[in-house]
Amino acid sequence: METMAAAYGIVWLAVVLFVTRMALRQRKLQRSFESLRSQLQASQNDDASLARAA
Amino acid sequence: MAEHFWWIVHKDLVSEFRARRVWPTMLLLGVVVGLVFSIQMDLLPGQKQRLVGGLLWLAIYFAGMTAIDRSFTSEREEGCWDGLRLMPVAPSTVFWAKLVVNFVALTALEFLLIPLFFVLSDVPLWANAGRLLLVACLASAGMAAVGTLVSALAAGIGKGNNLLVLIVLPLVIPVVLAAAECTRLIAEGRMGEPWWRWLQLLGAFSVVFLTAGSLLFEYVIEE
Amino acid sequence: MDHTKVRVGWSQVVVGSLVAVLLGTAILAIFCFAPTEQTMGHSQRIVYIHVPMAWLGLLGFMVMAVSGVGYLLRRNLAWDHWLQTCGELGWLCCSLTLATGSLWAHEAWGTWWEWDPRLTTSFILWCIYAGILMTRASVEDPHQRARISAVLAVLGTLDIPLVVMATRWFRGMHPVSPDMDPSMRMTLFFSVVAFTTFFAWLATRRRVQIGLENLATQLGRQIEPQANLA
Repeated sequence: METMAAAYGIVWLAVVLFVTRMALRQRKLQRSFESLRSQLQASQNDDASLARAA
Repeated sequence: MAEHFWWIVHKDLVSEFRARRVWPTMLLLGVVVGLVFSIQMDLLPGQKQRLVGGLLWLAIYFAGMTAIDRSFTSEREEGCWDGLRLMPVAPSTVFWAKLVVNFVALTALEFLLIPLFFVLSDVPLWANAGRLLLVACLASAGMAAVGTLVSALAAGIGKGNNLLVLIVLPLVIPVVLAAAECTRLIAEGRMGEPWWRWLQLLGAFSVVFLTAGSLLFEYVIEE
Repeated sequence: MDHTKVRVGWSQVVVGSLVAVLLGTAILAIFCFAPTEQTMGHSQRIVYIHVPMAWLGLLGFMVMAVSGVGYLLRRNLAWDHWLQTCGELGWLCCSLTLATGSLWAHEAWGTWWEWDPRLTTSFILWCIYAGILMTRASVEDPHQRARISAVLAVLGTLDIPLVVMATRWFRGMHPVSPDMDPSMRMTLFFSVVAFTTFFAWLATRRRVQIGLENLATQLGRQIEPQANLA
């Protein structure tokens, strides 16, 4: 009985860990895209101000 | 095409004989590993026949891989890699040429280690020399095929080299396992149906790896 | 449109719910429908999770090899994303096969491990999976990584016939196809279908995530030089 519980427990733990890892990566991805967006915005603003100065 | 093939084989063999970079290490490593394994076998006198196959082929694998691993690294280091890739030669020709060189290296190693194991373990491996030779040829072909392909991949990566060498063993295990079992059955003097089944498995995997290697090589050396 | 926020559209809810229902029904069948085995008792129910994991470990590898061939022929990185997804999930399933199998072996044979042909070859498959994933981690260029993984996956697949046929060719302790009660057989089949659906669903979600991760890396490389110039 304990062996069976251990086996099922291991499988479900692995699934939970995998899904949690996916969720954490998704959050990190969101932050990456936000930072990329702001970097792009900043470089576009700099280009615009350079063009105006010229 | 045959001209290019023999040219590459000749170049590699001659450069190895002149520089003696890899083969001495390979042979020395084979002897050392063989000696250590023989000592272990001596501790279990009744089990020698059962152990000799596995230990012999493990020694050949570890020592042989030191040579095979270097088969493309030296090209990279000396700037030959681009020249080899730009040659108007089919990639499979390069693969077969390198394979033959590695096969010769493994054969040299086996000519040293098999008598060594025979002498140190006192197991009658020589009683079926012909069959043992057949096993050795097939196993060398299979190991050389996988080793050549993976060492070409490793040469392409550079710094990831060490990791790739580790992956060769699980890939080549069917060949090593079958060769070990055939040798064990030869040592035990059991030449019946099991021996033929293991030999068929060995032959099948060697042929499969040779074919796969030849087909995949063009993807391995591109950049 | 922000593709990184997890937007749960109605189609995803429907599919997710179906997967959950299927899995839930399988669990119910395992614990309520399948009879208790005479010799091993409740421990025998491990088979309903061990066999699906073993099957998924093999399936993952085969899909990896197909994705590898797809990349080598088409040179589209989407194939490589599938290869990575199946590599991760397949390695996980292979690890769970060895773990659950080991637990079951302890109950059935009194030992955690045996160098039985099928166990040995399953372990070899696990080593190949791990090797491919580790090699991928050490290569930065996406196309080089895809090419190397594809070649290794195809080579590794040549071991699969060995794993599958091991118990038929060579004697060992691992059962080949033991006699099972029809209700047990049905539960096993249903369990395999349910877990396959669940992992396929996980794989599709993970593949999308891998695609986005690669896009982020690519964009980061493109935007950085521009930011530095400014």
